[in-house]
Amino acid sequence: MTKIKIATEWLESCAGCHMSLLDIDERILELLKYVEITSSPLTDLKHPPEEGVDVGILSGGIGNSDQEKKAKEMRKKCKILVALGDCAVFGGICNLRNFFPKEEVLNRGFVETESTSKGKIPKSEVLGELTDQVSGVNKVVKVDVYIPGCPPSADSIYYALTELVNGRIPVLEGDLLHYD
Amino acid sequence: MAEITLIINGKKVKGETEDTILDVCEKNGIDVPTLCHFKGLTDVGACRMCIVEIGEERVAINTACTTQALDGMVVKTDTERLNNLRKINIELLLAERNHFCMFCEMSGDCELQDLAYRFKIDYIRYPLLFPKLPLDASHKYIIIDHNRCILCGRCIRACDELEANHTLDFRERGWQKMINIDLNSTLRESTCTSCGSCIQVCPTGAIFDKKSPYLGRSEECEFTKTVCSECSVGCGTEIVTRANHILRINGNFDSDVSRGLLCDKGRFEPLYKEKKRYLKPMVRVNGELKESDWEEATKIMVEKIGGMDGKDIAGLVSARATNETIDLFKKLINNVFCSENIGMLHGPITTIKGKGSLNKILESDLIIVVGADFSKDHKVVRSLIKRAVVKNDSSLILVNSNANNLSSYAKLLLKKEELEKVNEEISMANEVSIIFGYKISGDVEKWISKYGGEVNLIGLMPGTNSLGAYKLGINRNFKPRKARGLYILAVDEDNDILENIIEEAKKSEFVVLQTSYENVLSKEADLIIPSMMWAERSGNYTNMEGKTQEVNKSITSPPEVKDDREIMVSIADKIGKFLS
Repeated sequence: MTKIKIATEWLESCAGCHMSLLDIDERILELLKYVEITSSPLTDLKHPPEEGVDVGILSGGIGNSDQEKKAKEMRKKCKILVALGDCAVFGGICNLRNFFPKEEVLNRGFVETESTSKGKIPKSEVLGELTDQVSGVNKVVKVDVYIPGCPPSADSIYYALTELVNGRIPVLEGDLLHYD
Repeated sequence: MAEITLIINGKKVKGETEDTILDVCEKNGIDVPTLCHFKGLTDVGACRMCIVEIGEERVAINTACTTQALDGMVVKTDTERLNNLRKINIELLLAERNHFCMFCEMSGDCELQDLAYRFKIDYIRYPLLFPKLPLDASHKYIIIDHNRCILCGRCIRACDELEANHTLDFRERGWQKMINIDLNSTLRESTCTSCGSCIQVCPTGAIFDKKSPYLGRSEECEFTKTVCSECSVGCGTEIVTRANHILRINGNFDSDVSRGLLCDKGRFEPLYKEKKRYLKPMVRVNGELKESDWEEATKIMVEKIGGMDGKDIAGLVSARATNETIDLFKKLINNVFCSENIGMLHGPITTIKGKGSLNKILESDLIIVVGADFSKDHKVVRSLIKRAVVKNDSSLILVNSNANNLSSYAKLLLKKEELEKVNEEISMANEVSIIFGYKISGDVEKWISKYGGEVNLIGLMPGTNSLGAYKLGINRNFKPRKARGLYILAVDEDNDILENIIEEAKKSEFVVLQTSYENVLSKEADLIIPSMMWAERSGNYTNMEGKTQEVNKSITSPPEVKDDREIMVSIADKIGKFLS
């Protein structure tokens, strides 16, 4: 049996959703019988393979141009795209910067911080440029499955993955659906 | 009211002519999602959650909470079309303001969140608006966070219909619509009476109290229905506890005395008092209070007080004690210590007794308040009076009453000497309520007694359970008259009442103080016996109407603190007398 290929990536994220993915504990061994994780921020291989994967998982919102690029790359390389966690679903806690203009946010972060002296706003080609507002990934790419939660519980993630393995689009309800 | 028959979801169900469709659904156990609806408040149809399909051929969609049920009506509550509309509605509510469940103190207890879960909303189809909205934390007890407000108007209706204060209302329209406080004031500077009803009715985290956030979700808490011990109204309360800690005091909407309403004294103040608790008996040795144990405490008690002659012993009891405790205390003083010298810390009640009911105030077209002060306690009575005046057009006459904010509602403000002017008003009214305070003079009592039988007569009591104590035969303006041994059962009484007997206590040779907290009498006490505080007691209180209501303990007392009755029984036991 060919295994289903999964690639994951984190964007504007605290990594909590990936920690929650690891929280499925020994069930991951069962899952690995059917699933191959090709790349993830937690493995040596960071980028999804050229030939693409079946399921792409994104956690974190879109907060800069680099993340936008990563989201688009994942979309291109996967058949089903999963938005994992509140930030990927609607921007989550990262949305809190949406109440201030971008310049004010950068200034506060790099210049006005109490511990900073002679601060400078970093600007370089290799760095992503901050978007005006943070958003969920569905603002830049089409999302097929949403798993909200901050972070989503291990049970929600395990359920969603087993549904995907079985060729179904997961519908979260009851205890599996939560926003906190 | 006649019976009507409707067909709801294909089933024949019965209702009554004055029912709304929602009423009929509730009576027949048909679940209709609601959000702005709150039992006890007027329905306004603000949230559109309870929409139903009405009719067969030409289907109309209308809110169940504001549509009157008619005989033969065909209603559907659970169609795909309705559920889609509801889902859109919830998503719009979530997109309109700043709802962040992950750090909201109400997550898990939020009705908006519950509905979003119910309709399996895993993302929001609409762009989030991120409006910049204020948070008002100026008030001592209450926070209003407009970011989480869904404009259901429950708080506005509670403020207007329960507390009859109308501090809250809406301002602006459309997107700009907001909860408004007075004329755009802060809550601290507003006319808010701090009754806290808005907190209890808010379905989201838009209005919450400062004490209980993050300390526990409802599913982790225990709820105990009991009676407020702060004054003689006897409002029904629901104590929210977790791991033996009190998080919050809610009004009990099932209470037929207060119907969910509370005042700041009952809802907030008990949680904000910071006093030193006595956890062990204390004995005075060489002028200093020293921690002791029960064995020594009862021994000293029996040696000192038990050895005295009955006529040298006096007992004083707080009206915050339950009927059962007061009864036993009386027996202890009378039968065990053989003294008749027993009185109430709060002083006596008036010779004229009110026999009316609080709820009848709302039905009265004339309300007369004589010598009553609602500024410290009995504030729920004030709310009822205000409700009668504002909602039912009752007339209010204040006689010699420092009635705290009531004068603007009054038709007449009279002095005691002008009482006779009221007679004519009474003769013209249909239903009259007379509410009198506990410090009225003899001539006022005489005037009131003229109307004793015909009107709804309500007397405020000096203490929570004063009427209960009176019925048990303790009602004395008490001076312990050179008592050598003074036994004060103060339970968790406040200093302002205890201050009155400092002088008496000083004169006594041996003072036993049974109390929960350190207080002004501690300095005079020779023996301190730790007592249970309000949330730890159980028994009964008799309120100002004469209703006897059950007091239930919501938390367990610290290990060394014993029940007041148990203490008294063990003292009697040591003396060799049986007490029950």
